[in-house]
Order: sequence, then structure tokens, then C-alpha cells
Amino acid sequence: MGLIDWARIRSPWIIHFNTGACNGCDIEVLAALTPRYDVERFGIRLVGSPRHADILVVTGPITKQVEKRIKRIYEQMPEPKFVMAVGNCCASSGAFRNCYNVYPGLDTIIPVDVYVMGCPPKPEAIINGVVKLIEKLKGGGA
Amino acid sequence: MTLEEEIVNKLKSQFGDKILEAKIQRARRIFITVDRSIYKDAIRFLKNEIGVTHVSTIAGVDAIERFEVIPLFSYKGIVIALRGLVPKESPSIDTISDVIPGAFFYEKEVHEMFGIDIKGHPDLSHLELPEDWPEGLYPLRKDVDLQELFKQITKERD
Amino acid sequence: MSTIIDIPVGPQHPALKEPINITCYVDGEQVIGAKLRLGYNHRGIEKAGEYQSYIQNLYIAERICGICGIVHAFSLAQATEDIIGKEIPRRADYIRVIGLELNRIHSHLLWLGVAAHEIGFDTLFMYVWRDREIVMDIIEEITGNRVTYALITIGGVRRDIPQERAEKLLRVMEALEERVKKYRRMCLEEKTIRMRCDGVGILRKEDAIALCAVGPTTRASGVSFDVRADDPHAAYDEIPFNVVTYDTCDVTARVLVRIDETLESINIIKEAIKKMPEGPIRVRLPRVVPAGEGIGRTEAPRGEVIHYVRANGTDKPFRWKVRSPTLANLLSIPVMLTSKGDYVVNIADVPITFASIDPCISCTDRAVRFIDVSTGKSWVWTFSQIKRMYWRR
Repeated sequence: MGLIDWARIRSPWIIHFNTGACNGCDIEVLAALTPRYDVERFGIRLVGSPRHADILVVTGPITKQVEKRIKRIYEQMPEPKFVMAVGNCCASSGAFRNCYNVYPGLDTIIPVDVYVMGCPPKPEAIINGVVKLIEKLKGGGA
Repeated sequence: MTLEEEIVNKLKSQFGDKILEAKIQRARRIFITVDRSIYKDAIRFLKNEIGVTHVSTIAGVDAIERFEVIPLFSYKGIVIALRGLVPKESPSIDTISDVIPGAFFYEKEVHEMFGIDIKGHPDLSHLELPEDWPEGLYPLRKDVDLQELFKQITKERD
Repeated sequence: MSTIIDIPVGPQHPALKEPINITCYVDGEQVIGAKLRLGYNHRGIEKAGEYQSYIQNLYIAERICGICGIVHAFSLAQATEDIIGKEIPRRADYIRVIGLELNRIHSHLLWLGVAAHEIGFDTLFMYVWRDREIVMDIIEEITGNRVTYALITIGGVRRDIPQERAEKLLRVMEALEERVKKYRRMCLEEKTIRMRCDGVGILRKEDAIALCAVGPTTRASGVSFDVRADDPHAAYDEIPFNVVTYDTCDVTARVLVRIDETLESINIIKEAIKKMPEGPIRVRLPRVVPAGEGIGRTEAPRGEVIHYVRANGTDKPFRWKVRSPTLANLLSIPVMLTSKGDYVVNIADVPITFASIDPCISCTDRAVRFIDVSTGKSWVWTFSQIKRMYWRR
């Protein structure tokens, strides 16, 4: 494991992007940052720019308006980069199966490394997703 | 006489048989149907003579034989649904945003979803549909099938 | 009259590839106008509703907004029950009120934390969200879920509140009341909060009425409009409570309205537990809804939510119209962001003004395009950039 990998595992920087979500997943992602769950003790930091982020956390069913934007954010992230899809909507459009302005899953637009299922998933599940991602990072991004 | 009955009576004495239907479903729920020709006058009357200031939303409906534009007003807790009938051969209706500015967004939505022209509205650009949405495709019309709308989303999933 | 809504929609700036949601026109540091572009969250729910049963639509309704989902499930249920014409059991009305008020409390606390963050007060954000977890816990105990409750069904509610749980809820409410009173004192006395919120984001009463604003946004402008009082539904007709209004029309007023409403909600829940009658929690209603139309309405944390349902004698709605409260309040944003006479709007005021209507759009860091009308320059700053530049705390 190289120095950069080790540093990245010590403190993964996360950017969060909502692609038209109902906010249910967003507030559980945010709750994960607050004292009860305190994901920051793992060194996880929320950053504002994709250029500083290791992990892109996406919530929401991808609406048509947002497709180009999420692609651009992904492209702006430096390698190696990882994507975590939070919520059923990201995995498969979820409850919005019959909605015409929604894509059938984030992985039809950008590659996804970890799926955290739930509608919304609890903060514990989201943290578990981050842990799984860190394990993947340890494995050299495989 | 209840307040609901008072409102219905006032409208009837002002507009006579141009009020095509007036129903008090239960307490605080009035449903009125008017011909398009008095739609705006009836709303002006609600505002100036009865004191209605709040429009909660405007529901467009594709009722197969015709369109309907139904603003829902709130007055002292009573919801007054004032349905204007819009023939499909000439899908247009007057704006009420100069009478009640709060109607501004709701009329935009009726226009983009049903293709009903809102005459006199200052800005009928899209409220919610994407900019590159095809012209003439009105999602909430009954003759537009959901599968046709899905074609706007280009990614296939097996 | 037409100057109240000056919401022009012009061409996108050619250099910017992203769709910008908020455009602010500035003259130096002063904001002289704003326009909004919506559609970010448009999913196509109303069309989908016509292809799904009423029960399926209850679940999608709850996901219209994850923060206040229950108000949409309630409104759809109420509209449908009106069409069917059957009354639901009284105990169900009380459980619905408890669900709705618990939702209001969590939402207002959520907002208080987010608003604190918008004025650079991250410590307060952390404290409030820690306390909010107490509410999330009891919501989970009562409904089985933290966020999407799935409590309401057509004909009543799906889960009962057994005696021990009701007693626990009472204890939780009493503990919470103390904490909320502390936050109230803090918001009134803390100088930095007052400095950043007093006189900011003004919406005059006559504008709030003309633009049909709802909820705390309009009540902070002195308009006493609350669906629970004006159009009593569920068990609100039997539970006395105060409609909270303030008349300073600014962000501070909106903060206080929400805090005071949280205290009112705590009281409503206490009363509901005391008065809740015994009996069934639901009545079986037919899957097929007879032809007719109905309107469901309640006071969401953000304001009036209204649903219109047209039934056609099948098990699927012929038409389902949803109006979330945020759409009603967005119209007021350009007015709040327009300097006029003595009322000066600074760039620093933009994030908290926007947040003060409690917009139920995405929580993503919002980008704002600024156009300086005197120099012709145009640039983009996000809310975080604005906060970093102006609030050094």
C-alpha cells in the first residue's frame, strides 16, 4: 500500500451531490456527520469542490436536468476516485419507477463502487457503506 | 346560512346561469364550474366582493372531452375550487396573475404540462421541464402515454 | 402591481455550462434583484400517479419530500377519503396529529441547525441536530422508521400507539421542551445571530398576501394563516393551540415563529396523548374509488400543502395534483432580495434569506450567479464561498 493510499484511507474527503432527491437520504447523510454518529472521527471530511474529493456520495434519482452536471462533477474529480450511491433511487430509480424525468439508476451515467440500499438508509448503513469503500480503497481500488 | 352557502349565493346572483354548477361537498369545500367567458370576472368578483386573496394552486385537468383549469382559492379556511372549462379545439384561458400575483407559477405549470395558452401571462417559459424538452410534448395530456415520455430518458436498463 | 413580481427568465450566460438556479443582480455590494430557475427536482410524479393505485401513491407521496413526507401522505388520504365519503375512526385522527406534529418538530429543528450553519454558526448546528436525534428516536419507535413513516393509510393509520409508548412520548416531549426553550433564549440573546438576521430578508405583509406565501414565511410577516386553525382536520378541532405570528417580517421573525411553533407542537402532542380515545385505528375502504373529486390539505412545517384528486371509479386516480409549500414561497425570494429605499440587501444576506423560507429543494451547496449591473461583470459563487468570505466565524 503506497503512501498516498494510506493517507487517503486515513482521511477520505467526500463530496455530496443531490440529483433531485426528496432530501430523505440527504438528511441521513448529514446526520452521519453530527455528534450522534460522528463520521468525522474517522477522518472523513465533507468538501465543497470535486477537485479535492476522493469519494463522490450521490443521493437521489437522477433527473434529466442534472445528468450533465453529475457527469461533469465526476470528471472533475482526480484519480483515484470512488462513487457511493446512497438510497434506492440511486440504484434503480427506487419509488420513482414510473416517473418520466428520472434515470433508471446512477450506474447508467457514471460507474458506482458502493451501493447503500434503503429508502432512506439509516446513518449506520451509510457509515457502513463508507467503511466498505475504505476496505475497497485498501484493496488498491479493486 | 353558512358562509359556504353565502359565497355560492353571491356568485349565483352575480353571474346567474353562467355558473354551470355549484356544489358544497362538505364543510369548507366548494366546487364551482363556470364557462371560460366569465372565468376571470368570477375571480375578480371573488377578490373584490368577497375578499379572497389566496390562491393555493391551479390544477389543470385533461378531462378527455375538454380541458379544465381549476384554481383552488382559500378564504377563511374554505377551499373554493373554481373550474373553468377549456375546449380542446381552442386551448386557452385568461391569466389571473394580474388579479392575484400568487398565481404566477401555477399558471406556468398548467401551460407546460397541458399546452393550454394562458393569455396575458408575462412569462410562459418552462417552470419545471428541462430546457431541451421537445416542443409540443405536454406530459399530463391523456393522449401522451407514459412510455412515450420515457423515451426522453435515453438510458436503457435491462 | 407588476413590479412586485419581476421574475424575468433570460438566456444563460454563454461561459457558464451549468444551469444556475439563482441569479442575483448587484450594484457593488448591494443586491437589487434576483431571479430563480426551478426544475431541478422535477421527477414526473403526477403522471406516474395516474398509473398507480391510491395505496401505491401513498408511498410515492411520502417521497415527494423526505423531510415532511407524512403531510403528503395525509393530504392524499384526506382527499381520497372525502371522495369515498366515509369518516375515519377518531383514534386514527389523533395518531395522525401526533405523526404530523412530530414531523413538524424534527423539521423545524433540522431547519434551525441548517440556518445556524448558513450564518456561520456550526456549533449551534451540531447541538441542535444532536437534540433532534431524540425526536428521530421516538419517531422510529412509534412509526418504525426515521424518515418515511408509512404511518398513514386510506381509512386511518397503520400502527397504533400502545400505552407505554405514549407515556414514553410524553417524557420525551417534556425533556425536549427544556432544550427548545434554551435555543429560544439563545436566538433572542446571541448578538451575532441578531446581527445577521434582524432586518434581513424583509417580506412586507402586503407582499406576502399578494404573492400567496404560506407557513412560517407568511406568519413572520404578520399573516395569521395556518391550515390547522383555519380548516381544522384530523383531531385539530379538539386540540387548542396558538397560531404563532410575528410582525417584523425578517429572518429573525421566521426563526422565532419556527421555535415557538416547535413549543406549540410539543403541547399539541401532550394534549393529543391525553385526549386520544380508544377504538379502532382504521376502517377498511374500497380499493376502487367512486367518481368524484376531493381536496386534501394540511399545514406542513413549511406551510400549506394541498392535493387535488379526481377519481373515476377505478383503483387509480384520474388526476392527482400536488402543490408543495415551497413552491408558494419561492415567489417571495426575489422580493426579499431586492434593495429598495432604506431596505438594503447585501450579498452576505443571500444564503440566510434563501434558507429562511426553509426551501424543500435539495441540500446541495447552491450556486448563485451574480451580475453587476454597473460593471457588466458576471461571476458565480456558491453559498459556502459567500459564507467563507463574509462570516469569518
